[in-house]
Amino acid sequence: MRIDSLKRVVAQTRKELTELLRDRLAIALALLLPLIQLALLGSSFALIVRDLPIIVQDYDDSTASRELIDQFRASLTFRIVPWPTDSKPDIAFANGQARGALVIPRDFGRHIARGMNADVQIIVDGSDANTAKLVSGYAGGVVRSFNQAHGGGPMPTGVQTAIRFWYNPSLSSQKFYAPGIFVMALSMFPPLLATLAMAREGELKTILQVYVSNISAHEFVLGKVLAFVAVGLAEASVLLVFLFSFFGIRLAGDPTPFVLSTLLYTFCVASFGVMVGAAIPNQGAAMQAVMFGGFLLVFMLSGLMFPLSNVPVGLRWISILVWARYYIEIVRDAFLQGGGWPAVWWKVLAIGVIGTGFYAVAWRRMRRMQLEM
Amino acid sequence: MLVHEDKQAEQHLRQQLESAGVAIDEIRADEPLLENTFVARLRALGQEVKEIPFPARKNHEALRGQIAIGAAHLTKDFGTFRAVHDVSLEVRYGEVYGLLGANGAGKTTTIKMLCGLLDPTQGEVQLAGVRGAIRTSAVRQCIGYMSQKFSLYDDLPIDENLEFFAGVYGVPPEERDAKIRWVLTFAGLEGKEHQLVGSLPGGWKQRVAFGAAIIHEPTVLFLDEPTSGVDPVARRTFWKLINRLADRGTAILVTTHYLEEAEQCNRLGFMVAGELVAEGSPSGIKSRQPGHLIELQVSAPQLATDRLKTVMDRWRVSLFGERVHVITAEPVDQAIRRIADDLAGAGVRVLSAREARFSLEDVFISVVEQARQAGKVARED
Repeated sequence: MRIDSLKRVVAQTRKELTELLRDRLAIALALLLPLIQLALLGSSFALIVRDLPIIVQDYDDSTASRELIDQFRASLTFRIVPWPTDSKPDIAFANGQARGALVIPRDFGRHIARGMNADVQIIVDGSDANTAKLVSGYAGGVVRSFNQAHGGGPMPTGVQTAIRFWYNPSLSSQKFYAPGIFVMALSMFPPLLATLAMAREGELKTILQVYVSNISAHEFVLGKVLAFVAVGLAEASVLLVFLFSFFGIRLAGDPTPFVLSTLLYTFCVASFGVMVGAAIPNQGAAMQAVMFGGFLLVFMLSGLMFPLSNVPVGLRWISILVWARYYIEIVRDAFLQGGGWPAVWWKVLAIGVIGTGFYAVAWRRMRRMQLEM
Repeated sequence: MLVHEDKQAEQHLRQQLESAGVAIDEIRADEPLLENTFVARLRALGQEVKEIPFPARKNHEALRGQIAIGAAHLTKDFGTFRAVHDVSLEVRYGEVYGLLGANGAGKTTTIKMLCGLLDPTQGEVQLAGVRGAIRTSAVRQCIGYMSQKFSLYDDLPIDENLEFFAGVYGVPPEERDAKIRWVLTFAGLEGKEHQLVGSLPGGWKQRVAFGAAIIHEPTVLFLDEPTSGVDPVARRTFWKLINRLADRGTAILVTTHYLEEAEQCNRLGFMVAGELVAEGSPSGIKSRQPGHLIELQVSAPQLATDRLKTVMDRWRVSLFGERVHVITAEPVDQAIRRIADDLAGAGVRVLSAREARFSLEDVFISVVEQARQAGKVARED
């Protein structure tokens, strides 16, 4: 009896994988797209800003003003864009030539020479809050160092801060974002394919033949889930090889929590996809639902892109249920911190619990193996 | 039989059958239907579907005579719409039961309730020896179902589809190859097993679906319009197989639109507007039809039909190709005279008129038309 049951599960899994392997587009979606994402990330994403275009309007044109401009020019952060003094800076912002402006007033040099407070104006394009913050921060830094060189302005004394970044000492953006892309890919493609496969059965009525056969709801759901666990694991392997070889990412400690949680996580996302597909027997609608769950929730409420502390309190509780939230922390721990089991055991458990929940709902939905009406 | 010279052939037939010890009720010459000609032509061209015996491992003979499918007062409501109303029927092992009815008469809903796909709103189903709780794995192992829409996976090749159904139905691995080969032969698709099901024409898909439905040798088989879209030659092969499965003890419930197929069933049920309005053997149903059937050949068949429908009950008149069939309660001669007078008034000449025997189609049309008159059916015209 047990053996028969296993055979039916295998028949279901095998059929699912055969269907998938014949679908080149699906394969490309599952394996190639995440790789392209990673490659893009490797070449373009950066936490450290370089070459921010900034315009300078020097109304003073003195030795001191030119020295200040040289300081800006010398920093790798800024690139000076020449701008005539009779033209308004916002024109440069509007047509994207610059993100900030340094305006030096006429008496700048004279004030410096007399040891008076000399003002400069820094205008920042605030339409992109992130870049604006960076521009103002860096520009402030440049001005401070100019101050130090000229012995003017308030000098921080007493406390000297020396900042060290742990786990990612060079603040390598690849090390920060790569685990994110890895989790993102696993959160999207396996459940998307799972939901399409499941919804298709309902939409094309092939489910009828399954209902009349003596496969049970557990065998049917498990067969489907296992197929997409296999897809998820294949995707994870491909991505890991890529991460290890091109991004120089290494496991930071005990790999067993990562391995176990990856198994559980693929189960969790595959079950999520199967559940949605079982509930919505329409491929288009089911796909929308998975995009909402797999993409929007994971992207916004897992701490993947934005820290959870930035999420409004009213919405933050939702993140407790967002499966990716736990996995992203386990993956970051595995790649960066190396805290191992003591740090992440309950997160592994949480993924297992949420995955079992999805599976249970999918099974409940299918348990009668019968038409609703 | 399609012959050149009927008298000569009849004599030959009598001799042959008598020497074989078969009693003859009647031999009648009739004009060939388009279908007779078509089938004969295809056969002559070698288009006949190949046949190899089904590699059966199980014999359901022991079950013969027991009730395989039993329905007691089945009713199904979809919201406020009553799709099936108080249907009771019984099908025994070894029996072919045909469920007939116009589109929307509730055949498919009934079949779905009988095989457990759908719960009835009221009533009880007995299936494969189990009453009520028919959703068990053991019961499902005993049934085969072929739905109106093919339930195959379009994006898989034929052999993978069959492999899958063999797998979920638990066909032992050592029997699978023989079974799959049989389905391919039956479907006339040998050598094309790697072709995607989605790329097959409907009729072929239907054959593969039929094969998939019986691959595990079910004792109870549900066939929902198995032959719609299948060409006449292949249809005959379907029926040969259906009869053979019944001979081995399988209970078969089949729905069809083709009334000449229905003649092959042991018993029939006519459904109209969700109700079972007539039941019995094909000959029983025909003999119970009251009145006489008059077959007319006229100069303008459609005009004649329209005209006659205005002077008598609509259900009594129907057009069969070029012939008009009229069901009458009067003595035949009197009726023919009256009809000829009526038609003459409309400028239609009667070329020939004779009493014919009821075909199932006559009975079916009159049953449906009477129901329509009673206001039960409004769905189509």
